[in-house]
Amino acid sequence: MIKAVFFDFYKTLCFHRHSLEENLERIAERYGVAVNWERFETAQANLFVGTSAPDPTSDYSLLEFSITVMRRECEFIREVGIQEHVEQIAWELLQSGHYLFAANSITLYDDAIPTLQYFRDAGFKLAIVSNWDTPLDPLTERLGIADYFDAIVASHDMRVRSEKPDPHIFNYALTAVGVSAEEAVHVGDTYGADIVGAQGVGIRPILLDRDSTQAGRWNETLQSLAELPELLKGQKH
Amino acid sequence: MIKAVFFDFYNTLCVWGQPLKVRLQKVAARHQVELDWERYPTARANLYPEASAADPSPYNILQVMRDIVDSYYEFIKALGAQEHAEQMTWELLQSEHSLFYATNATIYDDVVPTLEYLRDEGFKLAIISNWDTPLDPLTERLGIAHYFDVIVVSHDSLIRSSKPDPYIFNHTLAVVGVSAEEAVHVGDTYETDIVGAKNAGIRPILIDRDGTQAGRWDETIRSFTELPELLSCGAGSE
Repeated sequence: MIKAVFFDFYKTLCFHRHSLEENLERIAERYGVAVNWERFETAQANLFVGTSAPDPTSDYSLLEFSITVMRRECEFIREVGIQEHVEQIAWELLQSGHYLFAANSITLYDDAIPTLQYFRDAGFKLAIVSNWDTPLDPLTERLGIADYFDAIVASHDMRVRSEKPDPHIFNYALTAVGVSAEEAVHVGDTYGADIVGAQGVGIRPILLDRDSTQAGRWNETLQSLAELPELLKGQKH
Repeated sequence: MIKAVFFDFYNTLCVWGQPLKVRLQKVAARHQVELDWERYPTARANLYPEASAADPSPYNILQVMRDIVDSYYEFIKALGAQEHAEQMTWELLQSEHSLFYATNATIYDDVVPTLEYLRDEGFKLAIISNWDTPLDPLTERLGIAHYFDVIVVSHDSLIRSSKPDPYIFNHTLAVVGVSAEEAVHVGDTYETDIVGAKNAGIRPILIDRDGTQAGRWDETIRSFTELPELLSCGAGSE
């Protein structure tokens, strides 16, 4: 009997409405500065290398990491040939795109709220289980979905410090919500983290394949969260 | 004839929804950390006291961010938090500080209907704010950016002038393309909004939402809903 539904966050509940490229184009235009687009790809690759998430089990400093991200963003801006207003453009770009700054660009999929509403009304416990560099409370509050969840579990949160497919993050969520593994399902879009991870702790995994690029990868697969109520119908008493 | 309406931002269009203390209580509860509330008044007084007074000219946004992060971290530690202090600092910055995300920022209920009305009437609209970051990201997120022909901010590296300095007003007039006689400026702070607009030859309107500035200025409104009538009757007056 299923009593709880866990959700991955990024690409399951939400996505970036605008790419880094689109945000940069819009902001650069506002400042009247030219971007050297030929250098964009290299600069973007360097940016990701310089600011990829630290190992969550390490004792890293969130505040130092924020400063590093800011500094790297400035270097990125210079790499694409911008010399004026560098720091300010970097800051605006972070505001529009980077999760550490809660990211204007992060948007819910249209099927997220109706699905959460349905399961909450049906009496299920709900949780987010996400590999994410910061706590997700501020961002989920801003998106207006925080109140739907009994637990919001992020890998790099100091209270968690474990990322999918590691069993600890799933077990942490089970304990926080108060159900056993057999009583939970986990819905996510990434086979290696969501499906493998949930299966490893005995939680029933459901693959969300929104753009149909993972056909045949897993037996229980959805293309939209709207299919989830039907799939779990009759499985809660 | 009035062709343009300029607005101050904070306490005119936008307000922080919950006090810092309430936000902090929420973050502390989430982390199950006990704070020493007896130390709150002192810690609060020491929390980046120079923020709003910072001179815009030599301003370096990355350095200011560093200072603010450090200041909030000291604030959290001064209240006795040891565990999760960094993470609580970050969460508080996310809800509270405009340099981060300020999820706590909210617009007054009368703002959107008034902006909608004035835009439909053909007025040019602008924000003129003393603010330590550009306001484009925050106004976009609040859903009001598209109403404005320009958003002018003191600490923006394109501006570097704060009210009551005439430059910030003259810059706005030039961008919007109207003369001083064709504009009004609405704001809640006498020393910056009223004095500043007047010196630039712009007709100032004081907004006194909580009725604490009675008699301070002749053209005073309590709510934006009074603005359409004031502008239709007062067009071209001095």
